[in-house]
Amino acid sequence: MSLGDNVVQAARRALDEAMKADERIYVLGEDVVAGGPFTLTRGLADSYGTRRVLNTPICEYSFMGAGIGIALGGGRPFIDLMFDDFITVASDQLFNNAAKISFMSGGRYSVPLVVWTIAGAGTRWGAHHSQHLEGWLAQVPGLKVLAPSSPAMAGASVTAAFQESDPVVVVADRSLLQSRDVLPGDDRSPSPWSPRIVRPGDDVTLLTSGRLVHLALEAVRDLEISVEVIDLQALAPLDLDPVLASLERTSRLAILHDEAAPGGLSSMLARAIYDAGFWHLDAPISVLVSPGTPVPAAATLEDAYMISAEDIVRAVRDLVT
Amino acid sequence: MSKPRREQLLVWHREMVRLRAFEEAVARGHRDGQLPGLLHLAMGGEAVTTGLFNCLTETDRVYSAHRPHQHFVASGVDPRLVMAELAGRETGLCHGRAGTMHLMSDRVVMGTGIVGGTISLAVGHAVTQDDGDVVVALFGDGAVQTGTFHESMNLAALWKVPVLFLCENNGWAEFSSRDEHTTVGGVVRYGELYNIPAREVDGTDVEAVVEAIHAMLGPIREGQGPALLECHIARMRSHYEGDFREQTSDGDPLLTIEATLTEGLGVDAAQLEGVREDELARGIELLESVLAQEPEPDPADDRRFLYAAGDA
Repeated sequence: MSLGDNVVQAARRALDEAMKADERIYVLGEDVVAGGPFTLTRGLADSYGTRRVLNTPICEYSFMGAGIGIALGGGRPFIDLMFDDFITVASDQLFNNAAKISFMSGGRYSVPLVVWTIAGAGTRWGAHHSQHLEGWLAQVPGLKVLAPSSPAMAGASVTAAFQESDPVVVVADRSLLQSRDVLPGDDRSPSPWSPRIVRPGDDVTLLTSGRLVHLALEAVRDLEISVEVIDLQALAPLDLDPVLASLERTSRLAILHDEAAPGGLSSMLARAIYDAGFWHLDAPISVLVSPGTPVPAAATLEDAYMISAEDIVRAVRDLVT
Repeated sequence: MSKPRREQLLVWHREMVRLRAFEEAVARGHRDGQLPGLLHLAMGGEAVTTGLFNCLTETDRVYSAHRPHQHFVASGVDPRLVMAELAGRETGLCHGRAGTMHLMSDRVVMGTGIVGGTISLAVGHAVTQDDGDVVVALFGDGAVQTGTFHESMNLAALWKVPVLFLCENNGWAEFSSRDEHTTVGGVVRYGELYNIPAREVDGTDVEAVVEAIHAMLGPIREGQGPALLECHIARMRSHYEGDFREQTSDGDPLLTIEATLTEGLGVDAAQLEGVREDELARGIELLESVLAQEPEPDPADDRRFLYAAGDA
């Protein structure tokens, strides 16, 4: 990470450094030699050759499988899945093989697979290129899921994922790809595996990730209510200790996540916090997600679909009244 | 062939009988309610399995499918570990976490409960193989109708990786015949489409299998890319153990090799019968000993192996 990198540049820098240090790393995906649609892999084929930077046809199921095979053969695959939506096509390999092989093999094998994908609405790209499906991934035993919220954390997530022996999916937020905005704490090299407090507060805890961290900070900046904003970062496995510690002080929690109602990830978080932190709470947990429909294409509909700053302010006010 | 034909065939005969006897013991264990699980047995595939491992080196790798027991046993895994795994024991090959279809070991990397689910893994694994080593993808004719069969053939051909796609075509896919699954005449025909060498062979004839695999592995080992071999075999049992439909096909590879030995090579039928009795008895002994002696996993260890050792 160098000052001024955007999310894609920071991730590419981390990937490049990892490939330089470890020749077992292979990059696979559609158009990775040409750099991919978001230029994540630009230049890697020139540096490391097409033996390690492997273009694939459009076959998400089988290049995910091939990545798992590379891992079982002793390599360290990095797969550019391009869009979160395409997880549907590759899900059998992710769910049934990558996530289960350590367990099914009784520890004989592990699958050190890194998958990079992007998720999110706001582009008018419609229902097949805008969804957040990482809530599914977070519910599969054996998968690890990171959702970086800034350039620094995108780079740190890629670096951390390569240090794992288990499969890690890094879900980058579509609307942050070109963002250079830094978050408080970015300069302290925080671990991506634990939630981090990006704004301290006393009245309400707001738990979120990705683009919503930025939106939440903006929404509550001038509010008369003191809001603590926590960037969840790791969607799986969950580390809720920092959230519970925050609730001990604030007693009120809003969970915001970009996903369609009823909200698998948000519901899972709420349930886990009710289990572990019920007696800290003075009010029911407020959960804010998008409507339970596909992501619409029309601008008016898509804008209404996405969680807005006004939605966040309303949720926070409702919690304290 | 290093050994005289008669001696070689006797060795292969015993190996095929050993594999058959293992599955017979599994069938017995299931019938008696002692072995749990959704068991798909491989009786009928012994000539292909025996022939295949005759042609492989220690550093070659194999991906299996949903009838994997004989592949693991033939690869050199202690049959006791496989039987203990099928019985759900802590001392099984995968500590009881795998069971019948999901066995994993070193040479035969894994089986699968998802038809077609391992073919692309074989292609990826081949990317990492050292020069001269191959990966064999084993699958049935039912998997040929999945998208991933075609995606994997295409990927392997593009990447020119050392994979032998080996289809054990038993004429059945689950509960329907091949005719009901596809209008395509033969699996072997896909080789031409993907521009890779392809052959078909009588998979009940171990000598023919060895000749074909040996011939196909040569160019693969030299770096010329993947190849496809279709082996026609019988499915001697129903789709899974206990199914009420008796959907089987003819072509017992043991009868084929025994006919060759007795009719052309002067081997006494009683000698071959002795091998069968001997191996069958060993199979049953193994089953009973595993059931009596091997411990079951402790539910307190339920999360063990979820993540790799050392990871959170």
